[in-house]
Amino acid sequence: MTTTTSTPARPRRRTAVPWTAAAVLALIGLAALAPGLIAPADPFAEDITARLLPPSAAHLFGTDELGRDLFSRVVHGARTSLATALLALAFALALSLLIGLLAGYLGGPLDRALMAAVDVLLALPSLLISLLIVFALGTGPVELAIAVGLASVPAFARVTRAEVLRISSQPFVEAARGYGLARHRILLRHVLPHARGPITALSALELATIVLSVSALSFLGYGTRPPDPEWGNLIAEGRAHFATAWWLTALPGVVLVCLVLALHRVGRALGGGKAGPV
Amino acid sequence: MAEALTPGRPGPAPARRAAPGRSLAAYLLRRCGYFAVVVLAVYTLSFLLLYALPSDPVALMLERRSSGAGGSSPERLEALRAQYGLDRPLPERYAETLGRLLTGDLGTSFQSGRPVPEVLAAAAPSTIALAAAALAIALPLSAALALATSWRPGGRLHRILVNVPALIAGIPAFWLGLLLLQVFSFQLRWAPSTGGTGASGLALPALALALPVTAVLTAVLVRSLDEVQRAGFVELLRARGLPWHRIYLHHVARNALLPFVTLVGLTVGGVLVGTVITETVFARAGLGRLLASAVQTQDAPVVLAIAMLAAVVFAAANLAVDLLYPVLDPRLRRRQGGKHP
Repeated sequence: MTTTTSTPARPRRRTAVPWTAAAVLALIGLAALAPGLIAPADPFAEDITARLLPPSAAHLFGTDELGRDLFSRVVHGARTSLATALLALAFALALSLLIGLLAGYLGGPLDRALMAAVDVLLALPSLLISLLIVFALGTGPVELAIAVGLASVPAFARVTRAEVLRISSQPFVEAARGYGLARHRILLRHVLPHARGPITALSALELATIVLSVSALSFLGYGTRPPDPEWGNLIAEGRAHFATAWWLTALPGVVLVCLVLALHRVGRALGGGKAGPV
Repeated sequence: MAEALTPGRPGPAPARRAAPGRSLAAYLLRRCGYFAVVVLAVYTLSFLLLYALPSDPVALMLERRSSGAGGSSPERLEALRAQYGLDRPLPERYAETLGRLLTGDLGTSFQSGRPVPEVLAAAAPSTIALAAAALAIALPLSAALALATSWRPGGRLHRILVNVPALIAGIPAFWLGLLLLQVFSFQLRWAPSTGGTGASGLALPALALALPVTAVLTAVLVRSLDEVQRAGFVELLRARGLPWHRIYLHHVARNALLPFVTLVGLTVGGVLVGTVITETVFARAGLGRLLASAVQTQDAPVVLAIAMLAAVVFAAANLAVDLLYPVLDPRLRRRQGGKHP
């Protein structure tokens, strides 16, 4: 009995839905869409009688130096953090799809030139690229999204190209070519849909990296301006009371780590367990 | 971090093309050429981003310097632009700046008015110490962790330890630093919180900088170790009755080392740039902090100099690894030298 149940359990486990990770993502998504539902307290309401309180039932994450409820600020910060990260992902995805499709499908000298450029950029630390772009564009959430998004184009474009190459070599693409279909039509109708799966999995993993980069740059002070809550920002602000109020830096970070790990988990599940976060 | 993880690095591709009839010298020459290309590409990218955009560093600098001192006149603005060479066309400045860099002239900081080499020299020693300490932690730690993980693939230890790098990679570097600071400085009081001198002050920042790198290195080494263990020669050695620890350390580990060494070369640049975050978290003076503040104050010459420094260090580390390849891997030596006996 035990042998018959344990053998088929293995393939099922591999494709199992990561419920915990999905729940974390759903919760953070809800926080971004409707923060009032999760944290009814006003994230900007100051209360000088409740300054720097440790976490309690009334204030789940404690309060900051102005008596603002930290839990509420973290929940309301989810929108800025996620929106910036998703915008960055959109930039990265759009540009790298374009580069990957062009290079992978057209091949030849264009492919070699694009990939040489991508290789050089890939070699550079993405933080350096982001900092250079921040220098050029200035600070702010949108500028930050562009900086982080562009910095992750090289890695993305490489994978897109590899996918396009793999699919282009398959018989049905050859058949489509044999029928005399136009190149752009083959590319958009036959190659791109088949590349969707791996690219989706990569997107989830890349989004995790992007969330980390956005929070790091925002921690350095290149993102949203202080009164508005954002996770990297909240952690940076909490440093002022680091010695006495550990929760100001620790708890927003815990939420951030949960999001990143959940994205890793979902990305791995989408990729069929092949792709790892590192 | 992702950029170091993608297998598509430029190394293998040219090596494949080189297969028949090319000597070791051609290989070495090509790697040196790659060095030059990387540095030039970084220069071009940095220059375009730093100077081609319409932001006006001179106006910004004057605003900051003369706030309270009567403001700035348009004539003074023009004079300053001419002094820093910002009034000439872009291609001319591109060529001229490149020429200056090649002769070692890094220019003058917009912000402090001091020569850039002087500014860099003041900040460099503490950053070099930090980066070296981080690498000194990351390399042995990742090797040990990977060797322990991969000892028995499919074993319980493997299943547990294989998740450790992924877990560490999910933690933001700056938060990890704050966490270490909170636990070891404020709660346990083992290390000074800021400005400690010598090893005690260096330990926490170095660890914070090393851990994310360790995660990447470990993951790659584990993957490589697991792969080598499936090779046929391992089975043969087992069948000949060699003890496993001997096979593992002498044969498997040696063969698995190559991707690891490649990645070490790639991480050197990452560690250097990672100091931007670590030095901010631990309030240490250094190149990272300098870069962060130079970005904020639009101090283009300083940013350019640090970007170039990072590029040169990074490309040099990769060149060193590439030159090491024929030493480490006899196959490479034989294949490329074999046609020229």
